[in-house]
Amino acid sequence: MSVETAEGALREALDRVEAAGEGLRSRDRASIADVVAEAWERIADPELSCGRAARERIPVSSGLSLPMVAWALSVTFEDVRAELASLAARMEPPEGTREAPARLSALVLAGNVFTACVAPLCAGLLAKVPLVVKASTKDDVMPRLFVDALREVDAALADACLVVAIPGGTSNLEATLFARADAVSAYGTDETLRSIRDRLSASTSFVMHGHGLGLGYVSPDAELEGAAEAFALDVAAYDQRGCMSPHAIGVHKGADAHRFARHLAAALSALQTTMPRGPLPPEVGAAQVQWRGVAEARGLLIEGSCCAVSYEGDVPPRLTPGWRNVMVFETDRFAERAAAYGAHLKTVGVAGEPDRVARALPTPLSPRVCPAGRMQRPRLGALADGLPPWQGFRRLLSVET
Amino acid sequence: MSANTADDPGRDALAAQIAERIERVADGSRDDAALDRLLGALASWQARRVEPYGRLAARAALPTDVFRYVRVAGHPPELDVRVWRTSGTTSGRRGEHPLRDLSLYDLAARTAARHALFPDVERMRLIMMAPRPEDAPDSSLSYMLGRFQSWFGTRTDWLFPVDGRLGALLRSAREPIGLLGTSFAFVHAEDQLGAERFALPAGSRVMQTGGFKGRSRAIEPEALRRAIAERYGVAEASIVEEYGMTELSSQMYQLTLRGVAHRRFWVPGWVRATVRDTETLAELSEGEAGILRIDDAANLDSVCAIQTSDLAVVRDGAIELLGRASGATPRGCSLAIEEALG
Repeated sequence: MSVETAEGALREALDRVEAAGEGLRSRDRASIADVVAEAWERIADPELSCGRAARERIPVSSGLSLPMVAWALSVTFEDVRAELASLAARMEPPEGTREAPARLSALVLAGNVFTACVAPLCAGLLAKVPLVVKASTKDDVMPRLFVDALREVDAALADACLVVAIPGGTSNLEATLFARADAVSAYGTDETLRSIRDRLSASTSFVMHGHGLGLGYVSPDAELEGAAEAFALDVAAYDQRGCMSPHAIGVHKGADAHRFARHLAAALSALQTTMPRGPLPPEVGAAQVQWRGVAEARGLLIEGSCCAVSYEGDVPPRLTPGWRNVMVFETDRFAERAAAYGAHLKTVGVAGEPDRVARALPTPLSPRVCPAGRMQRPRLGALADGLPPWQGFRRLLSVET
Repeated sequence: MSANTADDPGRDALAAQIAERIERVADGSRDDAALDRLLGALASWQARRVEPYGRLAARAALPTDVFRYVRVAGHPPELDVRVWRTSGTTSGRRGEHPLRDLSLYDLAARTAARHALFPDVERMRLIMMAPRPEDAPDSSLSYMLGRFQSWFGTRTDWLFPVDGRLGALLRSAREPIGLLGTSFAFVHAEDQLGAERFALPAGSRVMQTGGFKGRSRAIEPEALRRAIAERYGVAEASIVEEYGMTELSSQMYQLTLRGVAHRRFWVPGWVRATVRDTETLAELSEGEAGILRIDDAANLDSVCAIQTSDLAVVRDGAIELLGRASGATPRGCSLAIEEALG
């Protein structure tokens, strides 16, 4: 069910979605996982209508190239059935507790990465919570495709999932939605999140996922060429527009950062053939000129095919405009450099031993730490901002005897 | 030749050529062939003396962000007479533009302002809605307005921050007034003055400049112009916007006081304005949108070829601004991240 509506129609739609929650809460979690997996597999399959629609519409709405979209669909859903089964098992309430799902949850999405909706949609439905998805007006294709695919598989479950696009300036519709939701999970800028938080009641569960970025690290014993190829994929994925995209890669002073930078530029250029970058928006192009100019003025700039790598010695990481511009810096104090990102650091990719790097990160940093090449391929059950993906969708009721 | 430049005959020769060019085109004329020869000589001289620019020779125009990270000057710091600094309120680190000598800056500023802002009057009463130069020694705008006080002012009042004195000054005005200030100062004035309206004497004019820099709510240029016209009782043609930046020595103005109907920015004859493709940096034709590059001959002691972040179109040799890129802040990332990284 998907609806753009005035306030009265929105209220009716919310009534229907909330009513579908009763049936949802009575279902076995494993069966929900099966149905959701089936829906995503249909979108991943280029031979099916959902899959064809995804490949036709997402490049247009996202600005990503078709090969990039196809890659993202392939890797995101390659193990979706097993990952959903695993997530479902983890979500069973511990002994001595019973779950108390929200009656209705609002999921507010940003528009920068089209697969960002997958994890919260899965977690929300596995938490047995009816969902109202407020998609970005710039890109609501993926959540709508999901609900359409879900309806093909299981109409009753699809009734528990509503996608709305609320245009800017219709604050009354947002107010209606937030008043009804007893849980809100939101993705966006600091300003967006503050605005939402200020409009929620004190009793509404609110989980915020602010914008952020990623950082890479090459340990002294890493093989540089392989590390460069892995990180090139991390940089190129989603044209470096995501919250997990690495903007800078620190190379331990024991390794040859200059050589790594050259390998990285070559690997990124090679990816332009298989996963070309989307068209560059003018304002990003203007920012790119500025960023590359600074790199060239004070360090080394290696420009490749629709990409650039800077090497600027042992200096603090400098934010890039994204779109396949990445900074390489030398360091023997990576944890200190990482700490500068604070809560905005979402993912650390490591060419080397992720565990060693994770242990060195200062508290309260809580990024996802993973091998290089997987920065933009989190598993469905991965923590988000240090929290389980079902955070906020349900509470646990303790039963003392 | 100033004492600061006494040991630099190469510089002095260029300075003399630049000054001669400015004076020759003070009437608003242009000789682009002569200007291009001068800019070419200047760029070559600067590439040898300004290290970061020399590294960018292939790129040929220095992006403004470079001023935030490295020193951009052809002279050592001990010869600085001024250092202009960007406001830093929207982008963390402040850019710095060191100057060894202010004579070319003064000549360019006076010549352009005479042509565009005070074409019909030698001197007039001025009200400046900006900090005094002594209160903001690193502000090129405050410095310029201070020079306007000397060159074009009879009585000059300074109001910053804008407060109730503005209304008192305007109510008592019996002669034409030049009201000059930043865009955010005019927004603050709107909030200060409530419902009061004024009818400034004929011959009054307004100059507004700059963005809002996070210091006030942002208002569309046309809306602000209408608000100013209504508030102060001046025709919209008497409201002139100025375009300048810390990294330049010259300013560009709209020519509505000279009867030019459009709102594009006039490019003085010692400045070249072109728009560039955002990926190739190739020069685009008139009418095509791209990022604005300014070649400012008055920028003797830094770099004359400056690449801005501003999206623009050039039509009939004048600049039409389309907005400013958000700097290095990528889509989906907040200003807070950039500030955290410094």
